[in-house]
Amino acid sequence: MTAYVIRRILWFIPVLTIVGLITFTIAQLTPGGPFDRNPEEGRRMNPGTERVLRARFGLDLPQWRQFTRYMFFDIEKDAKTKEDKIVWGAIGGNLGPTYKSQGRRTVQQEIFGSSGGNPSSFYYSARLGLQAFLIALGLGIPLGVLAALKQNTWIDYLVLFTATAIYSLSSLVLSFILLLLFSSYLGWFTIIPDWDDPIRPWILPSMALGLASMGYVARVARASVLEVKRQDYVRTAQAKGLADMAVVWKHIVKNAMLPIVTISGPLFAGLLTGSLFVERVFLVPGIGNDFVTAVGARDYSMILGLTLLYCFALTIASLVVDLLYGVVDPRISLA
Amino acid sequence: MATSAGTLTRGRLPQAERKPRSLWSDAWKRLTRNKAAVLGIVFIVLMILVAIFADLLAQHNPVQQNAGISLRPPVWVQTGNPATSGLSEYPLGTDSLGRDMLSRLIFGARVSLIVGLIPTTIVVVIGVTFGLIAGYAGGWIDNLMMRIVDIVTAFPDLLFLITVGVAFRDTPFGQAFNGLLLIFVALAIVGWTGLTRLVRGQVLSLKQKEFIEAARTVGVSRRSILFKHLLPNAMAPVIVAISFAIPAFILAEAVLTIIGVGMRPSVNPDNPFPTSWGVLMSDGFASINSNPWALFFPVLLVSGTMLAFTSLGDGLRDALDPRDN
Repeated sequence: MTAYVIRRILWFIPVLTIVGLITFTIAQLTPGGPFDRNPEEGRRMNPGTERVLRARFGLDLPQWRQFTRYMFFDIEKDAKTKEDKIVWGAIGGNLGPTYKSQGRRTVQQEIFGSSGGNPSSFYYSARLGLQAFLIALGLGIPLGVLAALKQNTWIDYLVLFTATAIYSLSSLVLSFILLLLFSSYLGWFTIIPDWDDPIRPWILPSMALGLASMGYVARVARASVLEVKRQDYVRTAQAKGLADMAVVWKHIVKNAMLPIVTISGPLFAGLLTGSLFVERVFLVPGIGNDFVTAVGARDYSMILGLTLLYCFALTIASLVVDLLYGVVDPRISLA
Repeated sequence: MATSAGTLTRGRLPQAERKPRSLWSDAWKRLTRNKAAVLGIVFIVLMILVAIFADLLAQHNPVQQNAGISLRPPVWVQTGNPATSGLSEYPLGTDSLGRDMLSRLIFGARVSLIVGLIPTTIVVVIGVTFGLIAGYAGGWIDNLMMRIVDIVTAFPDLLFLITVGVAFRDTPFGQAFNGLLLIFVALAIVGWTGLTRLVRGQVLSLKQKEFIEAARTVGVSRRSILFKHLLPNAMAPVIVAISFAIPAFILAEAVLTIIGVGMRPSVNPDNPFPTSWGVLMSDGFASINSNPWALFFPVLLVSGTMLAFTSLGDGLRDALDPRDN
């Protein structure tokens, strides 16, 4: 078990390195640099200033060294003591300074740090993702179980149809439908959110993100319960006179959870990257918003940092899912 | 035993007289019995016809701008004020530049369907070839190929698409066909791994079956085994996957366009591919306060298309895999 976890975590390093390398290469191929324009005035920056800034961020180094410096570490001369010291890169949790701030803030500060009393981008994205995740599982599982228990009744058909429709619309179309219906037509929510309100602006984006996944969860839960319902041990439990509720909860639902665990990994991943789009539609100042801005401004370290962060979260999520298999179904042994 | 076999061959039992049926004709019968799937097919065929005959169907040129009649609602919305009411000339209203909504939707169908089809074709070719080779070869080749698949899967799709979109946006490659070429290539690069996994899994189980062993024993070439014996038998789940891939690509184009790295707006009146549903949703979203209809119609069409492909896909899955029912 421990050996398995260690092996999986070691596998992160080549994956993240290669993902970083690909992103780095694309960013290098991009015409234009982060300092060719003055951010305030939008015109070409003074070549002297540009040179100084490029040197400060190590953009004058050979490309392979820029990459290793960013991903792993670099040896620099300390300004005061004049001694060589190791500066850790992404591997040590340092995602580098953002170019936008001209080096005053690091990527991790930009993502996790709050600015001017406002919560951090991470807070917005994490809360949105978590709420969506709760909607997806909290509604999807009960609906799927209910449909399966009432198989071939109108309840089943209604749940199945709704779940399929919502799921196939995806969070993109769903965002627009919710926006058109509740903001534009009914006027219950403002299109430009007021983030001082603790609940209101969160409702629509969480629903847009969560409901599409809910449809998927409900379908999987239904199929899984139908499968388990036919098992001999369920018939035995009913035959020996167990209360219906006990059979449902202890024997059916518990054993039907494995496929839910399986999909919750990709589901979580989908909520992470899907939020990028939902954030755009509902004007949520989260990480997705940072990413789109960074790409437009050619902020290499921010692009790399966010890509690595997303990728790290995805690999962690898939590891957690694999570990949960063993918990949900003791027959599965890892290693 | 000998007599019963004899009666069978003499054809006295009605079953023995039945014509041989292929898996595909059986599947087609099951599919056409599924009402939702048939409805989906009808909708998709309708959209394909609209896309092909867009030039004949559209009343106006989709990029022609009309000052003074911008952001009109559809014709049935009459506010009493002639400056904000719908016009019979423009049945579904106009966008912020006074372009005819209906004509734009018609031409948008063309680009959106192509965006669904071309990347899917590329993805199927790459994904199926990769999956066949990895599954059949096994050993270190399989291992290496699946590690490549792992890395591509680990890369967050949308982030890759956005990064590539921005990086190559201003190069000749990124500008080709209003940015559509770049979208096709980028979508194909991230999209093939699912099919590879699927086909590889199929091949792994199929290659243990007796008919493959038999083919190998009688000296059928490896290429023949791969493409004539393994591929047709692994095709059913691939077809189901295709019917889910097409709408996913249509949506991906829309997402990219709305985020700002997708298709470029075209102003050339002779361009046969001037706009997409993604562009229309993006424009409609921008003018949601002044004219929500401009967002409503493309959303409606995209929803219809998504539902149509899903019911077709679900129908295909049931039709091709009768064991599930």
